[in-house]
Amino acid sequence: MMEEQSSPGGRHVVTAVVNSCKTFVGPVVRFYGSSPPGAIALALLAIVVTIALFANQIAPYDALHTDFTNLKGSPTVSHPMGTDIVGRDVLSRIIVGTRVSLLVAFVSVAMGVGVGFVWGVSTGFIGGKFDLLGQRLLDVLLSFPSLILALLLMIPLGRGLGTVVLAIAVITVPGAARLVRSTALSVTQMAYVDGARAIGASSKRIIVRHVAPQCFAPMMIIATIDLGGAIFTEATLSFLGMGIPPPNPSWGRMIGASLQGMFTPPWWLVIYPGVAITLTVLCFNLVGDGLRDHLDPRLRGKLD
Amino acid sequence: MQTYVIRRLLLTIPTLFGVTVFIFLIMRVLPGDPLASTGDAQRMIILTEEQTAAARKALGLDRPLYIQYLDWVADILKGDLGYSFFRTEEPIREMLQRRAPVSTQIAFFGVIFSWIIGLPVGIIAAMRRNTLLDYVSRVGVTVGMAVPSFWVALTLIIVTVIFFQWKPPIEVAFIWDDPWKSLQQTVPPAAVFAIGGGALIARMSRATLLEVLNEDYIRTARAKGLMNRAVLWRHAFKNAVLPVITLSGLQLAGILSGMVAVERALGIPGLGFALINAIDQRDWMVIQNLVLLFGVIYVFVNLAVDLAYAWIDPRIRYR
Amino acid sequence: MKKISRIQLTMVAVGVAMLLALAAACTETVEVPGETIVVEKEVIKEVMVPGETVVVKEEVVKTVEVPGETVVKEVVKTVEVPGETVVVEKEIVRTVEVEVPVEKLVVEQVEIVKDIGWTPRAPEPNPKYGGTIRLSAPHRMAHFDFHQGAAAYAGQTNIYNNLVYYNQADGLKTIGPDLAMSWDVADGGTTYTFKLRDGVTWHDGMDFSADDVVATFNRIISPPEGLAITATGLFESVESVEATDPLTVRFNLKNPTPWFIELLASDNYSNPAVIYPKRFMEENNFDLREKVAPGTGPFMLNEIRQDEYWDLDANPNYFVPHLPYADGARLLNVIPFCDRGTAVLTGQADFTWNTCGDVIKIALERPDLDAKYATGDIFFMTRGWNIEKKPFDDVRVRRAFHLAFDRDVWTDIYMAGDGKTYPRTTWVPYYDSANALDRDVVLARPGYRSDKTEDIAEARRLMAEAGYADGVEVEYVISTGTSAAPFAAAMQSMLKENLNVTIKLREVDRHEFGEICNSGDFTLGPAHCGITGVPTVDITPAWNNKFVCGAAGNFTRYCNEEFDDIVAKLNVEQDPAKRYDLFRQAEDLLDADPPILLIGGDQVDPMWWKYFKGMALKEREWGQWGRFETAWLDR
Repeated sequence: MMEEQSSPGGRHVVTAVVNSCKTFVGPVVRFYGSSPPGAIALALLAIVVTIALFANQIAPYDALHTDFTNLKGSPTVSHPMGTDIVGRDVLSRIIVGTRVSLLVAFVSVAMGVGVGFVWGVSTGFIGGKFDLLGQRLLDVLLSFPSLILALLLMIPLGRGLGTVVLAIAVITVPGAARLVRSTALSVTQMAYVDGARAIGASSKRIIVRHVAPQCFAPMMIIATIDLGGAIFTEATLSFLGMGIPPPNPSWGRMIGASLQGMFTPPWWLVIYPGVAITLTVLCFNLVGDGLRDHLDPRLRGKLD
Repeated sequence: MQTYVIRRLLLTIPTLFGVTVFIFLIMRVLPGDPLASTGDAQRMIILTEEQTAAARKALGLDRPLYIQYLDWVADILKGDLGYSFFRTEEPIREMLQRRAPVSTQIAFFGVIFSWIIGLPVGIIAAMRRNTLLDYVSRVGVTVGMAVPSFWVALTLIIVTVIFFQWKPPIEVAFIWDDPWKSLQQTVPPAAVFAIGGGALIARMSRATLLEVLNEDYIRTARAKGLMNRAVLWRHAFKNAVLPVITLSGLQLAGILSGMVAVERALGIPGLGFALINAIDQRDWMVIQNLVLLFGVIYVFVNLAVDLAYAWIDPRIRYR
Repeated sequence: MKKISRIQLTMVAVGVAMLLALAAACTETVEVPGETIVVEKEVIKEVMVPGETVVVKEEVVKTVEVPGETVVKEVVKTVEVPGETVVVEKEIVRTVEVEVPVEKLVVEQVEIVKDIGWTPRAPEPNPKYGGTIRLSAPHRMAHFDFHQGAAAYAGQTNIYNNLVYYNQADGLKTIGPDLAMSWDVADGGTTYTFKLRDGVTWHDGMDFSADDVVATFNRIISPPEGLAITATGLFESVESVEATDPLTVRFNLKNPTPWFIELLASDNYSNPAVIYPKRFMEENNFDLREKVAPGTGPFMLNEIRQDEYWDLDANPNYFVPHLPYADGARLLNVIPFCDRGTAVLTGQADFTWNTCGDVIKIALERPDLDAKYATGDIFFMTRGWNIEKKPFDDVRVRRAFHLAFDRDVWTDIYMAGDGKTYPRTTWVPYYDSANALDRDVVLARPGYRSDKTEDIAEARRLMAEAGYADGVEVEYVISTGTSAAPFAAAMQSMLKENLNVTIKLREVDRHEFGEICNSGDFTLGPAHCGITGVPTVDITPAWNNKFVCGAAGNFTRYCNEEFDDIVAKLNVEQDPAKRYDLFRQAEDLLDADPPILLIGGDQVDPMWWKYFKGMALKEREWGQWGRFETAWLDR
């Protein structure tokens, strides 16, 4: 939103920006009230997302540029996180890696949770044999530890950005579907849904107007938590050499490359990408916890 | 309770059936040829079409899919997990049997260590709620849950190799043969898993303990004048910890997930390392059976968790 | 360099006179390649060797001064006097820093032994018996048939024997008898007759005979239906193999093949010429992929734990009675490059054939560990390109790539900064000291020299001439996994900077390389589409397989009639001097019209505990990941 300032009609844009800020500020302040760590993490995440969006502008060097005179260079003022075995700036690679990690996380979770949402709402609302079948399918997907399932899917799919997104989306589906279904199930049995049915509302209308909105909050919570999980899974897959193909920098791959190629990888090649993963996952976890407290007051205080 | 157990047990049958079909379909129907491994890229051996056809026939890959599937399931039920493509020197079953103790031990130690670390931290944090100790432990727990286990493992191994010229044994060591070597092999990865697992236990035990401490009966007990410690142990602790026990299931899931990357980082010859090796070598039969093994273990872990929940919380049985 | 004293000059004069005298006496002498060498001292010696054969040994010692260090080049040739054949053995080029060049020179014991009087043994006196030798190396085998392409990475050939074999005790400088006791070459190099050892038994108790040898090589020369034998092309010149009696085997060749003995002695990972038992082959339909065939070798297979180890026991009936010294061997499977070294470092293995420079550096600093930095390897670093695709269809583009590729930088990355010590090679590999140019000559050639300014300017001119002045985009196939990526990045930057070529990466699974190279579905491809390992020190067999028009391994689709003519001559030429000239012609031609992107030679860096002895790993000039029956543990 902020980058639109340069467009003509500046004043109008500024007003719009101020307005949009206002609409944002309110919920954020309320969110801070219910979960201070979550709000701080949200602020940090905003920074991370900004870094991801403007990675190429922020990065001090081209993440793909190799400086052959400075191989495995230790951290200095010009390269605060050192350089890797072909002389690429580690800081720049971590910054650009942010973009890859977040892209994979957001797209795959959006897909996975989206499918899970539709699955959950429909099975929860329709019920009966359809529900039973849906549940058994979920049981199958839930029968694998998530990373094993992702690995299994990566074997025939082959490596690549798209396939990693797809694999992570698939492992995100069952959790989301199950949670949404249970909410949909309880909403469907509530009195006002019966009421709506009684006054002749169509099933479609009931789903869209009554059931789905009620499932929205749990979906948001699980999506935020899954975002952290998705970053973690992507990093692990890339670490194992099954994830994002080069030359795109990926945090997991940066760690994996130091394992494969060189013994005693200089510490900066291992430590910094790991810190980046930890911090980002941490932020998503905290925001997820905060969001749960915020959106689902029954749970408030329970898991702080 | 009995009907619930029976119902829950019966439910695993369609699940396991679904798991086998799912694995089989992924390995056979999606693109990617199981024969890819029989050529040798380094030596540039390229099989002619006749050779490929002959090899497919020898491996039974030319039969209809459903027959291949039934054959596979029948073999599994007989306990025959087959062989790697051309290597018949060591059956897959033997390899899994050999490596399973290592991974089991890692998982077991991982859970134990998590409890040893997590429970005291959780209890102290709950008892000293909103003190500095509580805040520190909560920060630790939050970080512990976010830190990637393979990264910790890699950092650990680099430190031990550089400073102590030590790394875990690269051959399988059984606890009954060579306990010392076996411990060297299983304790480090278990310790790595205990970071995430311990954080989870600490967080949940703190939460449940706080909840229990707010329950009426605790207040009553206190009102009756019972000592603080007695209240804690006799009433609060018991009720708080039982639900957390079921978390071990969740933790096992985390360990099974993390096992591949951690064993790879530490070079430990367990099932996870076997899986990544098999994937690297396109060893289709090993992948297929190993993933199934992971699936079956996971299904039974879930089953155990569900039964434990039902045992602890009677409401679940009648749902 | 020190001034040459009058006495030394006199000695040189005397030496030269003696050499000339000897040269006249011998049926043939060998010219020493390269004229830029300053001759300092030449020694001629007569050495008596156990057994009946008299070997005349001629040693030529030359020193060359390069700024900063003294490089000593020793060229040692052996000429055998009795008998009608003259066999020229290996030559050794070593780079040694010598303070007083003449006094410190070691007289190398180089000999061709064709006599049973020679038996393999450890170079040290009184080796200790017992213990289990533990080797850390990768062993990824899709199956167990070495002749069908199973890679013998990790010492699995200890189970078998060849007909002839390199001497482990002198650092692989000699080829001596193995299952053959002795051999004769007749008919102008087209008939090789091997006398086999008597009383050799297979591990399963069966007797070894000439039939086994014949069956082994017949399977290679004309593979049964459905089998893909990798070495078939290498043995193309063999017309037939026959057993003239139970202990004599005769190879009839279509044409003289100068590297034939070398081929039979080969035990590098890609082409071990091991002998398999005939009966076992017949029982298994000549397909040995599923089961490990019994051998005659120093160790017997005990058990295999997939992806973990191979456990071998000493063969109590080994035909060399005092070998092996160890009671057994354990071949540990360690795949990551540096982990092979850390397995040694952490005391889990006694030695490894090859590990990364970082660990080697640690080993060299420690008193109880040892390593040999930069042992040559009969392995090339290359990349393949598809000559049927743009832009590589234009010879100017290929020449531009050849010129502009910065070999210094590449080896620096490979060696984590130690690239200057790395083997630099032209098309004729550097370890082939009889035929290769000297390192300093190579380093002065366009394309190979360190100063790239002129080469890059020329390369850019060529690119512009070919119509790519504004650059071009090239797709580059690399393998998945974490190790290929950094090199791909280096390739991208280098070509972008030097030639304005944009490299687009396509990551595929290693297992797909075969299909990709064969089908031509690549523009710039991995080394597998060029050259990787070569079967012999002599490069000609590899050229036959890789560069000749329409050859089976010619994945780049290279076709140059002039080059094919040279190779055809090399295939039959036995005169070393003429071979040397032919190699020079081929080299110039390939530089002008490169069939692949040649990066350089490769090296292996073995590392071992000091108590691990008997292998003379320090003496090795090139690497071989083969048998280690002479190894013993001093503890």
